[in-house]
Amino acid sequence: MDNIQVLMISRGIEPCRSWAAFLARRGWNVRICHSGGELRQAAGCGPLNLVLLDETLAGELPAGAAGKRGPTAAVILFSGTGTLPNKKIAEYLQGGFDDFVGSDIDPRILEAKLLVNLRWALPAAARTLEEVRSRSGRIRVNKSRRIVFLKKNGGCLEVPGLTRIQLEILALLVGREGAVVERRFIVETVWRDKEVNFQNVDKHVELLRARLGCFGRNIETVYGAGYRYRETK
Amino acid sequence: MKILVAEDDDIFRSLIAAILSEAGYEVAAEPDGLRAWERLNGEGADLCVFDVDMPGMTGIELLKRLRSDARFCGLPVIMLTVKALVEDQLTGYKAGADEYIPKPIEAQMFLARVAALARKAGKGSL
Repeated sequence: MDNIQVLMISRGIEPCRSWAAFLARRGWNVRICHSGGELRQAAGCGPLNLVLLDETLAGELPAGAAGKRGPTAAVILFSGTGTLPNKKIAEYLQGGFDDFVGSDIDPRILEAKLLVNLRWALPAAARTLEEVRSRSGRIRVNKSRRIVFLKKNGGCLEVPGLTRIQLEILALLVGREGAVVERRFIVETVWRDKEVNFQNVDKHVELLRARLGCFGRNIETVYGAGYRYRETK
Repeated sequence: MKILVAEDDDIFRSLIAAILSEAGYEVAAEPDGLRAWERLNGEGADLCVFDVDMPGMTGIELLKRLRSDARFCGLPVIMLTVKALVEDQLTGYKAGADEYIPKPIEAQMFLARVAALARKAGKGSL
């Protein structure tokens, strides 16, 4: 995930700020650029990029960057100033931009579109985003297939049928292996806009531990804070 | 470039086929998911356009079948639907859709989306 960066630039603060907050909570490496110069500099070096660009700034991209590979995996335009006529959007797409979204797009759909674009541009990178694994590789959480793989006694066990909530909590903890993940962060990331009390989180974690068998012990309760995934040797 | 269309509504199926044909694509159109699957197995395709709601095998079921088959798992797929709710779209993307376009469609925009997806999939030429 660290070698892929989502670069955003718009004339206003929104929608980039709220998109960035959502995507960062989901584990994406996000950077908001404040000028065309900063975007060009960031797009030209360092990690591979998915660029989200305000269509009014479409000309800020290096000439010919849209539709080309290289350090920029995909360029997605968004309407920063309201609705655009279909004709204009079609022109952008025909001109080589990879996608176009409205500024009011649900961030979950935006993330799905980022993954689609990444899948075409960099299939291997997309696969790593769909799967979270612990450092030892003893546990792998495949988010798209909704399966957890456990390495045990020289073999590999599948734990299918986890609920979306259980899967997202596990992916969150394994993706931040060794770090304490606060309950508030879990609620904001997994349940998003819904009001959920912390006892609900505890209940889901208990069920998750039970589903994981002996691997459930790796999910530690950090009293007064949250949970931590840590593998015992 | 060959596009397989699966759409149960006769009028809409004819409309999509006409839009794509006029734009220069070779089109194969079927009225349900099962026939589309059989056609795909027999003739193949470079890109697919599926309606979500179809009798027998739905567009989502057809899409999942494609994605679990090594021959077709990398085929670009556009879903068309009247179901434009966020949850419906997420279901489509999670099943492996590359585009999720709400009906009614506008020809120029639809063709631009088809062309953009074909380009990304490395199948840009007609």
